[in-house]
Parts: sequence; C-alpha cells; structure tokens
Amino acid sequence: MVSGFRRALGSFTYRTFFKKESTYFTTVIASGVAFSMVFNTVFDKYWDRKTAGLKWDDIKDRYAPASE
Amino acid sequence: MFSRIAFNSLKQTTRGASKTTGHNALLGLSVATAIGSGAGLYYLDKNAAHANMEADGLHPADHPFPQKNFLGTFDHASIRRGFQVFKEVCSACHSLDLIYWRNLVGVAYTEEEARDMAAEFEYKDGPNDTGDMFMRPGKLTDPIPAPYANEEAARAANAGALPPDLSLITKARHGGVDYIYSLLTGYCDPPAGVEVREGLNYNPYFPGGAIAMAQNIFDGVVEFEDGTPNTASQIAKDVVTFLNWAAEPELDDRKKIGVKALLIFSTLTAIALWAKRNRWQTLKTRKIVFNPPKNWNKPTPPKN
Repeated sequence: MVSGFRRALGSFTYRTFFKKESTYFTTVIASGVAFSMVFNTVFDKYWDRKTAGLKWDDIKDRYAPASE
Repeated sequence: MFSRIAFNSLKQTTRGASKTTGHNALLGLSVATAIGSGAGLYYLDKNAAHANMEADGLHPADHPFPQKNFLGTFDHASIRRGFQVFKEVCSACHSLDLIYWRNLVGVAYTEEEARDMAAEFEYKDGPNDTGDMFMRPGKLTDPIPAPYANEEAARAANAGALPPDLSLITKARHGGVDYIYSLLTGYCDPPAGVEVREGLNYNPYFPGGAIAMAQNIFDGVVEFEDGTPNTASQIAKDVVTFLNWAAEPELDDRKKIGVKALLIFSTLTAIALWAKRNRWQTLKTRKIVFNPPKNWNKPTPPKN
C-alpha cells in the first residue's frame, strides 16, 4: 500500500532521473540551480530583516539625491 | 602510591566494570587533568603581573561594538558620522591613503554627496598640452587627501613624531577597535611618580604610557547633522566604527556569506556522514561463519 507507493516512487525516480548519466547530470545541475535560487532568496530576506536599519540601503532615503 | 589509591577508588566507583574500563577512565582523567592544568598555567603566565606592564599598555575593556559580534554588521549611520569626525578632526594630521572618495559611495554617502565633498579639495594632475602640471578639483577616483606630502614633512610638523596612516589601524593594532576607542577616550593625568617628558602626553593604553598625540576628542568638537548627541564617547565610537570600516570594508558581505557557507557545509557534512554510514552498514554488520563439514576433526596444535 503506502510502501508500494514509496517503492514505485523510488523506482520512477531512479528510472527517470538516475539511470542514464545524461539525465542524472541534468538533474544535479537543475536541482543545484533551484536550491541556490530558493536558499539565497530566503536567506537574504532573513538577513535583511536581521540587519534592518543598519545597512546603507536603509538610511539612504534620508539623503535623497538632488535630482528627486 | 597515589596512583594506586586513585585506581582503587576508581575501581570502587565503577564496580562491576572491567579492568579495561577502569584503565580507560583513569587515562581519561589524567588527560583531562593535564589539559586543564596546562590551560590554567598558560592563562596565568599570559596574565601574570610583572614589573614592566607599562610597556604593554593597559588592556582595553571589551566594548559592545555591534560589528564585533559573530553575526554583527556595521551601523552605516555611525560610519557616516565617523567620516565626518575624521574629516573635521583627524585629517589635520592623519592620512587615509587607501580610501578613495568612490569607496564612500553606497556605504555612507550618495554619489552626489561624495562628488561634492571630493570637489572641495584640489589635486595635482598630469601635464597639460603645454607640459605643465595643474591643480584641479577632486573627483570620485581621487584618494582622500593626505595632510602632508611625505613622512619628513609630517615629522617636522609634529615634533618628530609620525602620525600613522589610519586606513588599516584597527587591524594593525593589538586590541583593535577596543584599543583605539580606549586610547582616544583614555587621556588622564599620569599617576604619582610617573614623569612624561615635554611634548608627550600620558595615556595608560598606549604601550609605554607616553604618546605624542594630545587629546583631540572632547564633548562637542563635532556637530552631527542627524542630531546625535555629540559627547566625547559618541564621537570616539563613531570615528572608531568608521576606521573599522576603512580597514574591513568587506565585513558586511563576509559575515553574510560566512553564515551561508556554514549552513550549507554543515548540512553537507551531516549528509556525508550519514551516507558513509549507510553504505558501510552491510560491511560493518556482516558476519563470517565457519560451518565445518560433518566428519571434520578439529585440528589440535602440536604438543611440544
């Protein structure tokens, strides 16, 4: 039942992504790119919240350029 | 004798444990004692009182600069105020050769502000069409101007003492930001019996006690545009933060990338450890069994 589904899912994953070297390589690169995008976005949002008010971007609005 | 007493008492407490466990426990205890006493003796030696402590300078206190924390970054408003202090107070004698006007853009000033500040100064520029050098107003690509043309001029104007360049001073002095801050705010009268010769000033934090620089940071020497109260300690804190930025401009990015690296590498290490143990499970749990045939006589060792 559930173990059958897990076995089928594992088998599907292996056959589609891991069996051929070309698809394996593509999977590695694609998941790396996806992880990198997600991780960086989430972490940068967290870091910006942690350093709110300290960075230049947070205080630059006080010194608006003459053109505005 | 004491080792036997120790071993027997250890055996009492670990009654039922094997002799090997007792030996291991005693070994562990000895190693812990050796390391503990070694660390203690090292600490005592480093912090021992000796006759010439004045030569080391008074150890500065641990001040809560936000960028000192493991995950702490600069307060850029403080960097901006600190540059104002440097420009108005310190740049009369100290150079900042490694910082250019463009380095301030996006850190403490907008591009227009930096350009306007640079234009207040004159710089000598290359030969013109008739072959003469000429003076022109500063650009973003120019360095923060130095007060003296060379070391000899600096020494001549300061009674033989050279005001050091401050671009890397927080990294170049033992004690870092704490030392610079304590030095700037630590001027006091010398204790009874200590003589400071004419021209020098007493500062307990300076190695040797006698520094050529007089006190320059007082209450109200600088007026801050953002209305921060200009006490001497606030002025010193801001200029030290600016000098720390000048020495370590990459600090904000370094800590951000560092946290990311620690997160990812620790995760990968944990995965690697698990994966190794997973793959080795079959080998580590295998059993090798010898099933002798039915009519097998167990060989006996030869009697000698």
